[in-house]
Amino acid sequence: MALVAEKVSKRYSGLLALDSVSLELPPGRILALIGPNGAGKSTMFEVLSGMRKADGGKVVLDGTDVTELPPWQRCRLGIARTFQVVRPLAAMTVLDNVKVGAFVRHHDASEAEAVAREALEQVGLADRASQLARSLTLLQRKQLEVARALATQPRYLLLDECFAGLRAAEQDVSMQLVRRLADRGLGLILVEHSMRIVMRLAEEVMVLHHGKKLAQGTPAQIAKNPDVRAAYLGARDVVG
Amino acid sequence: MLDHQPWLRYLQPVVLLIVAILVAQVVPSRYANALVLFTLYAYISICWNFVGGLAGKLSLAHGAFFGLGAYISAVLFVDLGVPLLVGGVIAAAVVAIFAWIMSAIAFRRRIGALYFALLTLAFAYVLLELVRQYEIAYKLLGVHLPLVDDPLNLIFLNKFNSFYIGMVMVAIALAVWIWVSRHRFGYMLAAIREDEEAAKALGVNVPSVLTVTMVATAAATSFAGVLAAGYLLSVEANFVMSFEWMNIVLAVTLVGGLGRMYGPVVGAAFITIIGEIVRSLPQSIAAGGISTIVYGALVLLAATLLPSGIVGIARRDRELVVR
Ligand SMILES: Nc1ncnc2c1ncn2[C@@H]1O[C@H](COP(=O)(O)OP(=O)(O)O)[C@@H](O)[C@H]1O
Ligand SMILES: [Mg+2]
Repeated sequence: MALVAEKVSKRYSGLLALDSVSLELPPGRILALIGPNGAGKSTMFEVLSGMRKADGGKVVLDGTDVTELPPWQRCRLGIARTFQVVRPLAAMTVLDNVKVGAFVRHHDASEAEAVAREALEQVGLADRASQLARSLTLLQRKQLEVARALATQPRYLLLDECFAGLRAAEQDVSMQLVRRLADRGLGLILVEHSMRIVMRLAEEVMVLHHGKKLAQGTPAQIAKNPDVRAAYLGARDVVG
Repeated sequence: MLDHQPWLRYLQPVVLLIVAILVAQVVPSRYANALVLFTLYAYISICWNFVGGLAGKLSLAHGAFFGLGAYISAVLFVDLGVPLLVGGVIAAAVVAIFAWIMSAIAFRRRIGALYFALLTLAFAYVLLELVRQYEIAYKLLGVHLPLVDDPLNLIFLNKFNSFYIGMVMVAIALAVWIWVSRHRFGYMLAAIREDEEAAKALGVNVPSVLTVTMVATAAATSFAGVLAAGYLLSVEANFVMSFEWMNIVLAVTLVGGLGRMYGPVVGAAFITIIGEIVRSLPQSIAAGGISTIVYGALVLLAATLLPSGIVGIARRDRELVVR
């Protein structure tokens, strides 16, 4: 039982965005995926969720090879993801956005609505339910991404920079939610820049750099790893 | 209010039907033709609205689906004595196959909005031309149904009866709209309209949902052709297979309210009235395709002044269709 990527590669025209990267996410585990901008973190989500086909390697979900399955089927099998660049269904209400997710497992409309309202409650968007999604702020849109993914009742949840821009107090609420989900048996991958969050939430950290796996280990191990420091410093040098 | 008893919403089409029947009792018989046209416009536009308004895909083929329904059922009736309703089912099956082929081409791969419109347009013209060629080869004088009162074949001496049947069809289509827009399928359609990528990630099988919608609405649209065949009695390719029907559906839906339940009904009433006014003008003005110019101008006006159509002024829907 796990969500597994086996030697996954992904090429964007000339650029090798993922170079034979493997990972394993058991249920109930929180894995942080970190690395400088452009490292290939979001690309890994694209490949795991099936939005983009890998050029090499396999994706295995609880023992089933899903490499050839389209995203909607992977969603039904239990993989949910958020988009780093949010994709609200702009002309629909917040509640209807989340209901679309809930309909994956609940074909009855009132059941789906109950599931959707609970998901909104969890991310703290309940009081926006009847607003149009296009009227939300960027932060609220990120919360909506999470609520929609949660409403599909996944076994594995991929969160792409959902905490970015939150204030410390809001971060704490979201971190408690992630903890609760993991305690309930969800496997989670967090793509996250804030080391405060990574250190406090993740049981395991994987570092990507230029599409390659640079290091993997406990947060404490990663914090001490000289290669990781060099990668981040190197990236900073390029920027500066 | 109504929201506490969702099934009460299904009374709306029933009430509309009853009101329409009552109103028809006091309408002078010279307007029977306009009433029948109104139901055809409204019904086809509701069918199209599932594709264009809910799923957000600009199909330009539904006018041809209507024409095929009329032509095939009329030919089967006149040449082979197949009852009009049975011929209508056969026509619907043929149309469904065309719609399925079109969907298989369009939805298997990701194709852009522009290409979908062009693909359906090309299909429509192929179908229009096929029927025209058939007519030139075999039915130079058109297809003529006998003028005898024959209710089972939808041929009525009292033309108001065609209007009643058309209103029943409109009411059924509205009831289906209510059902779809409150259930899973409608949510999937709206999600596709808003963002196909997000819809996929939320478990929506985009190609199959769109294919089902195209096939079902195409078949439903062809039934309007059957009603038209029984009503017109003379079925000619130049009329039923004219692209004008598609123009009207676009005008009706945009003027009434794209993606709104009552948009097509309100738009059809509006366009029918405009059509009657144009027709009552002196011949010298009415000739020369002035109605086409008027429809085109209305679509332009609607698109610029009323992006949510006439229905959009009256109320802001809280349904999937909010714009
Ligand atoms: N759709 C795309 N087309 C071409 N290149 C892309 C595309 N998406 C991402 N890339 C490139 O792939 C690399 C990895 O990107 P991404 O996975 O988004 O990184 P991260 O999420 O770690 O910041 C970057 O160099 C980026 O520019
Ligand atoms: Mg990213």
